[in-house]
Amino acid sequence: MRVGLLTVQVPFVRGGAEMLAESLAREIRRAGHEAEIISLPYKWYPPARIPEHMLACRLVDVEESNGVPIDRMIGLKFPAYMARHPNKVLWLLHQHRGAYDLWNTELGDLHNNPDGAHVRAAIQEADTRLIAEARACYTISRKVSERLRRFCDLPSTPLYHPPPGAERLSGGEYGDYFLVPSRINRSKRQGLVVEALALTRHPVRAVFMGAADDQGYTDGLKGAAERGAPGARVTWTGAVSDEQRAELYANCLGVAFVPWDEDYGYVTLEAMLSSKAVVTCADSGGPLEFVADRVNGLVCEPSPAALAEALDLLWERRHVAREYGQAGRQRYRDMGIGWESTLSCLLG
Amino acid sequence: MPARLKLNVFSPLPPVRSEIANHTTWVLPPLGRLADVTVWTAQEGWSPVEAEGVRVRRYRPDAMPWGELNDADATFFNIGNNTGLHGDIFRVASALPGVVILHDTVLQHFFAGLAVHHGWRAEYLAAMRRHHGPDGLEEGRRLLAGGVGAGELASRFPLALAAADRATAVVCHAPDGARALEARTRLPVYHLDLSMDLSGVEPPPPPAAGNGAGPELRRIVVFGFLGFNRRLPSLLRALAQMPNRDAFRLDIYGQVDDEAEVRLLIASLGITHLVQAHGFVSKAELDRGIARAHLAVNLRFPTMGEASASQLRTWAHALPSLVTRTGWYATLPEDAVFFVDPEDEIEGIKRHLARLLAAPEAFEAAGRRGRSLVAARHSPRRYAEGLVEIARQAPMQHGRRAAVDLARASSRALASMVGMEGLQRAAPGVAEEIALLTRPASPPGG
Repeated sequence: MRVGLLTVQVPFVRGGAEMLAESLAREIRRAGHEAEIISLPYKWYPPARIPEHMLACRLVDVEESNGVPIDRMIGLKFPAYMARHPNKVLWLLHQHRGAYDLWNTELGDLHNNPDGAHVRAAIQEADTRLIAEARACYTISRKVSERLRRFCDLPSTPLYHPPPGAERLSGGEYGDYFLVPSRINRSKRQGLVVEALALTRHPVRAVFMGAADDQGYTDGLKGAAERGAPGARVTWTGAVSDEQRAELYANCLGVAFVPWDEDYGYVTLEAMLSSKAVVTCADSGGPLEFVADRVNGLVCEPSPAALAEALDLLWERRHVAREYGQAGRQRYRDMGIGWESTLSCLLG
Repeated sequence: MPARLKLNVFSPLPPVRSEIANHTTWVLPPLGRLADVTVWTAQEGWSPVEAEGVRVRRYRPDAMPWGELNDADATFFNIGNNTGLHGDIFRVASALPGVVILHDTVLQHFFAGLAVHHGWRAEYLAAMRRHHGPDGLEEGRRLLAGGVGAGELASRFPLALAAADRATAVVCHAPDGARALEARTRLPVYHLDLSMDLSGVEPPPPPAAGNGAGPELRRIVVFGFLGFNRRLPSLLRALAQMPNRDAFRLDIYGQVDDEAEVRLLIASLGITHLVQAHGFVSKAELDRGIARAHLAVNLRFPTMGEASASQLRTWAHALPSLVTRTGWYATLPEDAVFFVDPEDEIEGIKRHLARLLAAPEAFEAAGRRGRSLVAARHSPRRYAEGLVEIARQAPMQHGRRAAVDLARASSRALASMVGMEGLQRAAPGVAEEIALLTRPASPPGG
C-alpha cells in the first residue's frame, strides 16, 4: 500500500508533530508499505492567511503521484487534512486551537485580532464539514477527541502511540533532581515549577530540558529561578541529544510535567517508559489519561503551593517515587501502547 | 449559538443632531430585552440610555479592544452620510467584519468627505476604481482636484458597497435599495423597515383650519437636514406661483444648505411674508411645529437611497405629506402619501396644494393611514427582532465573507499566473471549492 501522510509545517520549526509524522512513516514502512510525508508550509498570521492556507490545502491533488495512485491518505494537522482524497483517514494531532479551546484565553491570539471572530467562524465551518468527509477519524488522545466532540459535534476514536525513541528509554537510578522536559513556552507552564521551587521545604533540584520557544518567557523564568531557588538547584540544558535525553530521564527522581490542557504529551509516556513518577496538574489535559493520582504519579492543583507539596513529598519519600515510577512502566505495558494497533486502525 | 445573544452596536447617540442617533435610541430598549447589547460610540458625552440589557462604551478607533468586541455574537455598524458622525465607525468597520447598516445607499458625499477632510485620498480613489471602474477613478481624481462636487457624482458613483468592504452582511431600509445592492454583492443583504417610536407622539385631533394663522390658512412644514436634494427652491417657486398663495404659510425647520441663496430666492419671489425659517430647534419645538401643520413636504431628488426618518416622524403626527416618486418613497402606499413626479415637480406641488385647499379630508385620511402604517410596520420592537434574526445568521454571513475574500485572493493569484483569459476558465472550479469550504452546515434559519 502507498500511504501519504499529510501534514503542515512551520518552516524551520520542529516539534512533536514532526517527530510523530516521522515515526509513523517509519512504522508504516516497517510494516511493509510505502510511506511518504507530504508536508505543506503553514503560517497562521495575520489571521487572514489561515483561510488561504485552508483553500490551498483543499486544492492540493494527492490522489496519485507520478501516475501511481496513493492508496491511503492519513491527515495529521490542520489544515492539511482538508485535502481531498477518496480514501482519507484522519489522525488528528489537534485542530487550530486558537479557534476552539484557546479562544479568549491568554494562550490564544486569534480573539485579539479584529478579524478573529470572522476567521474562527470560517475555521469551524470548514472543520465541521471537511473532517466529516474522512472515512474514519482518529485522534492522538482522548483530550483531542473530547474537543472535537464539544466544538464540532464530531465523533472520533483516540489512538495512543509510543513516543519517538521509545526503545531508547529505560529506568536507571532515582537521582537527586526532577526532570522538567518540554519546549519552554507559556502553555507548558514551566513558570509554575519555578514558583513551586521557591516554596519547597526541601532543597528540591530541577533540570529543565528543552529549547526555548519563547526567549522572553525563558529569560524571565531564569531570572525568577535565580531569585527563588538560587545556586545549583535549577539547571537549564536547552536542546539535548537523544542520548542525553534518555540519560536525563533514566536518572531523575521523577518528572514534573504541568502544561495547560496538553493534547497528548510525549513527556508522560517517556517518563513511564523510564519508570519515573509523573507530577502533573488537574488541568493538564493529555497527561491525565495516563497518570493515576498516587498510583504512578501525583495530580495536584495548578498552584505553586500544591506543586511544591507534591515535589516535597517525592523528594523526602524516595521509595514512593520509585514505587510510582515502576507502576508507571507497568501501566504503559498494560495499556498496550504500540504501533501495531495504531497501524491496524489507520491502514485498515 | 446561545439563546441570548451578545451584540455590539456602533452608532452616534443623542444629544448629537442625528436621526440615526435618535433611531438607535428607539431601538435599544426592545433590543436590550432580546440580547445583551454594548453600544460603542466615539462621542465624548451622550444622553443616558435607559434600557435594560444595554451598556454604552466609548471607543477610540486607534485603540480598539478587539478581544472584547470578538466576544460578541455579532456586530452592527450604523453608517450614514455624515462624515463627522460615521467616519470613526467606518474605520472600525474596515477592520472588524460585521453587519453594516446603510442608512443611505448613496455614500459619495461620505467618502468624498473622508477624502477631502480626513486624508482618505488614496483609499477614496481605490474605492472609486474598485466599485466604479476606470470612469470612477477618473471622476474621483477630478473631485480631489476640485473639478467636480460630490453631489454631481452621487447618482453615477454611489460607493454604497465601499462601506461594506470588510462586512459580513448589509442591512438596508429601502426594499428597492436592498434589491439593487443584492445584485452587486455576494454578501447577504437584508431589508429592515426603519422604525419610529410613537410613544412620545400623541395622535393629534384633526387640525382646525388656520391653526392660529387665520381661518382659511393652511400650514406647510419642511424639516430635517435640507440639502440640495430636498427641493426647497421648487417648493418655494410652486408656492409663489399659486394664485391663492396667501392661503398658505411655510415653516422651515432645520439646517438649510445654501441658506443665503434660499433667502434671496424667497425675497425675489415676493413670499417673505409666507415663509418662516426657524433654524435647528429642539425636538419638542419641532414636534409642536409639525403638530400644528396641515401638510409636510418631504421631497427627495435625487434620493440617496435612504428610508426617511422624517417621513416616519411626519406620519407619527398623522400629518399628510408630499413625497417624490423615487427610491424608497416610490414604494410607499398610494393612500398614505401624495406623490410628486420629478419631471413635473413644480406643477405637481401646485396641484396638491390646490387640492389641499379644496379637499382637506383626503389629506387628513392619508395622514391617519400613515400613522397606522408606522404602528404596524415601523415599530422599534420589530426592527430589534430583525437585528437579532440577522445576528443569528452570523455563521453563514462569515462563511460568505470568507468566500468573497478567498475568491479575491485566488483571483489575484490566478491572474498573475494565467492572465485574464485563463482566469475566466479557472474561476468556476475555484469558486466551487470556496463554496464547499465556506458553506454553512445548515441553511440559515433551517
